[in-house]
Amino acid sequence: MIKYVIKRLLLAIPIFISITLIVYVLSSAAPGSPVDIIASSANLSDEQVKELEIAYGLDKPVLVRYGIWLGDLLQGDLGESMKTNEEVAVVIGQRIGPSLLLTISSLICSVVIGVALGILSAHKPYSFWDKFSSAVAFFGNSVPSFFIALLLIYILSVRLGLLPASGMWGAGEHNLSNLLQHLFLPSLIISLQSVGGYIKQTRGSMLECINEDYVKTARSKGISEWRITICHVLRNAWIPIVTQLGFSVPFVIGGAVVTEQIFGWPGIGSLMVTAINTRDYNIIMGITVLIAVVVLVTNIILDVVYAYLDPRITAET
Amino acid sequence: MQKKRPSSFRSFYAKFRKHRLAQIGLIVIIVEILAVIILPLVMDLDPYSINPLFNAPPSSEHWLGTDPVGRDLFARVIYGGRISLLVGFSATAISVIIGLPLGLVAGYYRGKVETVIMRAADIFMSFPSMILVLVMVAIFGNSLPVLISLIGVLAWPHPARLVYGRALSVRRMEYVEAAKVGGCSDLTILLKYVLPNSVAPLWMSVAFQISSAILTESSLSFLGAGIQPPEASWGNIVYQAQNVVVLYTYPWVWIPAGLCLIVTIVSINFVGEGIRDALDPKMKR
Repeated sequence: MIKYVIKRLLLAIPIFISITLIVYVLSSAAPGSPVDIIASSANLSDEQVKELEIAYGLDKPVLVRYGIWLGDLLQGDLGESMKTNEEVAVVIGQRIGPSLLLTISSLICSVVIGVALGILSAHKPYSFWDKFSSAVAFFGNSVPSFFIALLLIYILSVRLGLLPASGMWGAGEHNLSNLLQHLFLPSLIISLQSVGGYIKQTRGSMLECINEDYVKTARSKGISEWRITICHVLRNAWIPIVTQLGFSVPFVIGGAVVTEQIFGWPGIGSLMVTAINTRDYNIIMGITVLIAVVVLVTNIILDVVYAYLDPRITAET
Repeated sequence: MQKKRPSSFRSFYAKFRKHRLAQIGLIVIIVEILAVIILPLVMDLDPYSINPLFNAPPSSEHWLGTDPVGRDLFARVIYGGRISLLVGFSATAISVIIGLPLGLVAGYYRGKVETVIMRAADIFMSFPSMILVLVMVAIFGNSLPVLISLIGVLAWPHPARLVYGRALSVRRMEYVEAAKVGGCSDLTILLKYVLPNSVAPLWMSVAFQISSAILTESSLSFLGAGIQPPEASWGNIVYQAQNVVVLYTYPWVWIPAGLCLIVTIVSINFVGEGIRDALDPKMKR
């Protein structure tokens, strides 16, 4: 098992380097380097521009600069924001907490809703709940989350005044119930997009084994229908659900960017949008690194969970 | 040999017609395409010029009212539809042009080519495409051709995977073996035998790809990183609702464009389900 984990970790390193290298090279080729910006505002001579380029290290070839950047990164130095001159690591650090809270609660939300609806529809195929679940799956996939978010804000917050429209805390109220009220809508909306996958996977894999011998045995022993569904049939669905979890992580992170922006959530996503609109490449690079690490680490964790659920996997590789 | 070739159009159409929602979706899309092409030609639509009335409610003069800058919203929704549909179809075409040959080659040759291409596809799929597109937009700018190419290029793993999966089994078919023995070149085998028999899964998913490209464009424009005003797009019309005053008091500014987006995507996805059910015998309920 440990060998398997180490192998996965080693495989992640070239992936990490290629992602960051691509983004680094592309963003250094983009117009509007810090020197250009200073030069255009301060009317500098050619020599002064040269000096500035040396000061910023821009005179070196791009691969060398990437090497220096990577070395700094390993020491935890992501550079400074090109607009506010704050440390990128500090800026991102302030935003990580809220984003983690939002993405994790959306993941939990989508798994719980998706698996519950999946169980309901597999329990009685073609019933009302089955049709309802496939409708939820279809529309969850089809509906633009930003528009639904705005509609829900308009109806629930503006018209009915039930939920807060934006932010993470109310003014002066830093308690749990206030946080949950602010968290509810954004995490529901992010989870909507991936809920369909869980419904389909749960339903499909449960129906697959509903006629297996061990289910019949359980039934003949007189165990209640619900107990069979939960204890005997659902077990078969765990691996596809973990697969689905792996699929939905990128969607949840991507969805969080849009949703954070709408709800004024003080996380990585809204930082990203600001950085894009002001072309703050150091912040963009920092966020890319963070997301690459998150994606790779979740993939490794999921691989390990697989190996735990299905020991044949480690035997093969 | 195969009894029923999926390319036999008549049997496909007969099955497709049974799917009521898919037919409705197809009609909606056709009407929409005609509307965004014809209406600007026959009507006096002006999405750019600024009227003295800001945020005016719908009236006989401005059917959907005017936006916070005073532009006619009906004209903007129609012109925005042009952009959305254009992005959806052309970005998907680009992703197929890139992904199809890669998937075909990976599935047919296997070995090192397969490892490189499919590992790259895995990496692209596991990284949030929304973030990638945002980063690329920051680097390359957000003109319409750039947006279309970025959305298209970054979607390449989907067609590649679908074709790859089928090509893996097609390459072992007897007719491919026969062609090899008969001395056909690799290129001939790929184009004449492997390609036509590997594209069916692609047709099943092409509609979903179009709708997801439209969704990506509108999300980008909604974030202010896509199509820039004064050019209209459904996403940047809804963007104006990020202003609290517009969101709260002028719902006619942002609701119609959002509804158009939903209707379009739902219709395309219905068509997609219809195509999938008609092509895939396993999907029949």
